[in-house]
Amino acid sequence: MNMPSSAARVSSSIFSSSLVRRAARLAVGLLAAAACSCATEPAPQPATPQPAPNPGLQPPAFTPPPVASPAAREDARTRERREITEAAWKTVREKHYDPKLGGVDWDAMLKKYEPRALGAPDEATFYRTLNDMLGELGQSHMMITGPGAGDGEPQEVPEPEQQHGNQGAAADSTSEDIGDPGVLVRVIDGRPTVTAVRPGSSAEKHGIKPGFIVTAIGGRPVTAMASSRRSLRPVEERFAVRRAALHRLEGPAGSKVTFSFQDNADRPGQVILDRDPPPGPLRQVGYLPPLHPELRAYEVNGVGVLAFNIFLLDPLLGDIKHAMDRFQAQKIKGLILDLRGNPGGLAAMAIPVAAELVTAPMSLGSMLMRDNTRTDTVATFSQTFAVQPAPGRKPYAGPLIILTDEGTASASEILAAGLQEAGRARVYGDTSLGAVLPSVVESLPHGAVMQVVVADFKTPKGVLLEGRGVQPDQRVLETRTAFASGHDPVLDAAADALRGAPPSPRPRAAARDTSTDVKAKARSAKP
Amino acid sequence: MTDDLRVMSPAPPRGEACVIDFEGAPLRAFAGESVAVALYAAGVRTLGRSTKYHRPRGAFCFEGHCASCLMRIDGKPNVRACLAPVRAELRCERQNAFPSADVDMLEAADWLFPHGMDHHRLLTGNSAANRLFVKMVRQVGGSGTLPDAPAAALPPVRDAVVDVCVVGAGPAGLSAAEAIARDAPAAHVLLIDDQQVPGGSWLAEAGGVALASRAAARASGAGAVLMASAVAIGFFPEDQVLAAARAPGEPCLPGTLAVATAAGLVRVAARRFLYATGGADQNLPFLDNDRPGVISARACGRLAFQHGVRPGEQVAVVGDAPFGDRLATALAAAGVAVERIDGAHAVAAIGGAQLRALQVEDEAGARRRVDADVIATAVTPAPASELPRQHGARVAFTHDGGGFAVTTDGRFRTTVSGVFACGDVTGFQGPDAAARAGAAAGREIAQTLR
Repeated sequence: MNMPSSAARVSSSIFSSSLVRRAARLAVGLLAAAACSCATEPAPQPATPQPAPNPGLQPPAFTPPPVASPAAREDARTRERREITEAAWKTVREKHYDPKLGGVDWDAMLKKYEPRALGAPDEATFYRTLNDMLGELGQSHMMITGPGAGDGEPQEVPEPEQQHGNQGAAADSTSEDIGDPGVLVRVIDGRPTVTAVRPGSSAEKHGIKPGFIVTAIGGRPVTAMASSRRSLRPVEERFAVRRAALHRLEGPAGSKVTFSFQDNADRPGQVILDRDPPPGPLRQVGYLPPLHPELRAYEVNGVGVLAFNIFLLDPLLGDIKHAMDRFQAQKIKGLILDLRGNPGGLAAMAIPVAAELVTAPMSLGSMLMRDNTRTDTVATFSQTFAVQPAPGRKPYAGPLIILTDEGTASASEILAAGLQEAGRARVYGDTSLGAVLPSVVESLPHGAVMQVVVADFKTPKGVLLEGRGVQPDQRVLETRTAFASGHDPVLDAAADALRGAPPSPRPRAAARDTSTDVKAKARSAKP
Repeated sequence: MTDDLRVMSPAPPRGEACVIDFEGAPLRAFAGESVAVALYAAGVRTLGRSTKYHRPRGAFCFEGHCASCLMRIDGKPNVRACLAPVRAELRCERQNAFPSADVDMLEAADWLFPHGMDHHRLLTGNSAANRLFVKMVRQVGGSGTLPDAPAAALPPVRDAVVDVCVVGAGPAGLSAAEAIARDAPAAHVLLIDDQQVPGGSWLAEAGGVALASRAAARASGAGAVLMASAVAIGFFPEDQVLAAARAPGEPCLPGTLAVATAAGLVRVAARRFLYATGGADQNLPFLDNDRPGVISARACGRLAFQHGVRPGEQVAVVGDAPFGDRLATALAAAGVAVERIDGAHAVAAIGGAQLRALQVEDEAGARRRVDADVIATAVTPAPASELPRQHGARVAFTHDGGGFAVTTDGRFRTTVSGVFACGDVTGFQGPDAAARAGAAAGREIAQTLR
């Protein structure tokens, strides 16, 4: 259970540098699913129909052509492609948790997409076609990529920052020195907008402020990158823009990127930002982009705020417990668990985090998996996310608000939805991404890899989170004006609610009160 | 309320973002949207309750032809949410509901009286019960509550005396206005439309926004004056003063057209009237066809292509009108799950305030359930012939044309001298044919002006 649906970021991160090193990391992705289920034995490599002759190692034939004719090369590539396509198709058929695939005629899909895949003019198109085929299932956590798939943005034009000299861009740049200039770009009022600037970052030094509209990064406007033609739900599209901006902003630490904007007076501007090095070592879980695990825990006016950016046991779980102890010692009035932008990670970690917050045993939901142990019939079984308060620890029992946004995905959604449904927490913010499918990463022939869904997730009351997301109890409208005036509207609303304070005054509050009075009178005056 | 359903690609040109107040909650809206569109984009389907039975009501046609979207807006009851432009600080509330439109206790009337409630006879025998019941009936049966404040003093009535008044800025009206203004450059051409944006039925088609804006640019470039958000509310043949006021040249036609705008009433006198009022979207007869989420196919198209709002997750397009096929194809291309239901009868909408499915029956009588959260009805629109009929033009019933269509001769003349009609109001023909008819009608009218 490791990654939300937008896959473009992934394809580049996997193949831009070293495939082999990344492949080792993908094993963590397997762990993510295995740790929470212990049930889906990673099935054996899908049997390839015919052993694939590697064209590079073919012994010379009796009459070796002096130079492999284009036609011959074409044939070999077509064979490879057919093997990859069929392996991907079989993996879905044999491993997807739903043997019926939600009613999709999977045989017909192979017939429909195989000719297109084999005839693809280039590798990027080939993989896009396969993703289109997977897209017919209409689910997140399904994606395939391979050598030459590109980064999902066809016709990459050289970015202007290269003219400024990539001081830090070593040829074999590794993920360890991926940096970013410290701006968070989200879709506000329908436009990519800066919503946060990291203190001390290059962006702050260059005067970038929340509320700025992002017109271009690296010389190009920020748009949602599509890895397949599967239609994006609006929340997915907003997330895809956020991802695309991050992807564009990130690069070798020390290199530069141009950043064009409209400032808060709508004046256009452009700056060249430095990609600051990450504050610590980066970690990667499965297909998620490498992240520096970060936990922020602070207390403001009696309200504790706990935010972390990925579900990863070490080092975050220890830090979370430590922060909770401190909050309890401070006798906070309420706790805000900020899961905004948290893409998930190790799904099982939702359990120990929830254990810090509940006093009685509860369930966060269950995974419905395909039973691969039975050969006579295709069956499913379920696995429950049962939470027990940890022995010897005193869980926090006070008021709790969880914050979500379009970047809240996977394990974050399991935690938020489970606590919300149990009545333990209220959720503030925006609909979450709705990408909650446990998945594993499979290798396919010829260096292609594929993420495949192995289970479905339901809350205890049977709500499917996939494609729906967590629905906030209190939807908080985020406006550019609020960000421009230095506010975090969602956090403010939650903090106000926990302090029992009236919501922040809105300009019209007084006018509304009188108008309701008048209306009440009008109603009583009605004959 | 579920989510912001606006998509960014293909992104229609959106106006400035603003925040409106929906029953105390702030809601995002963009200039150019109507209140109904902004609420739909925020996942609000139920805009109020019907009178008497208090069934949930949502917008159906999104263009002011039905009365399904009445709301209390800025303290004014019974305002069509689909014609009310959004602006910052606008207040909108749902009406006829207690305690709220989502959970309305008065809905009990619907299931207590499944065969209808005769409120004229019920409990009239006993006088005490009668008094009580009269109170209840008024609560249940009334529509809206009194305005917050007495109406402000009316702005002064303005007059417009023009050579040609074209009513309706759809494909026919825009093309006609352009042709008249081009062929008779000296003529004053006034083009009025009840929507915020000209384009009419073009706006319901994929790519239609561009067609409409180009046509509007050509018309105004040729010299026609467009008045948007202006509703022609009636023709007054007895009002002769303005018509007589025209100084030199040919006199105006007798009577004036009353046009309601946000800035007050405008009386229009003209030497030629051209009615290009188009058609009104129709529903299909099936059980619970009044549920929010049952919308006209053209409204569905306008949501998707004019406003960039995802109409739903699964759209069932039902009905035989040709634009249903185009809508289904275009929505599918835009990535929305669509089922086009052909050769089958819609039997019932399934689901309460939130649609879940449509039950359909094929010719053999077999019933099946089509999952859908939006049902788009593609029915031949009824010609919007009320206004030309009030002007005295003869109308005749045509089955293929969708209802009572204005009778015209081959030169777009109605039975009233100086009054013309073209486009769907003369019988449904679709945007392309209507645009051609409009251009031809415009040339005809220009000739009569020389």
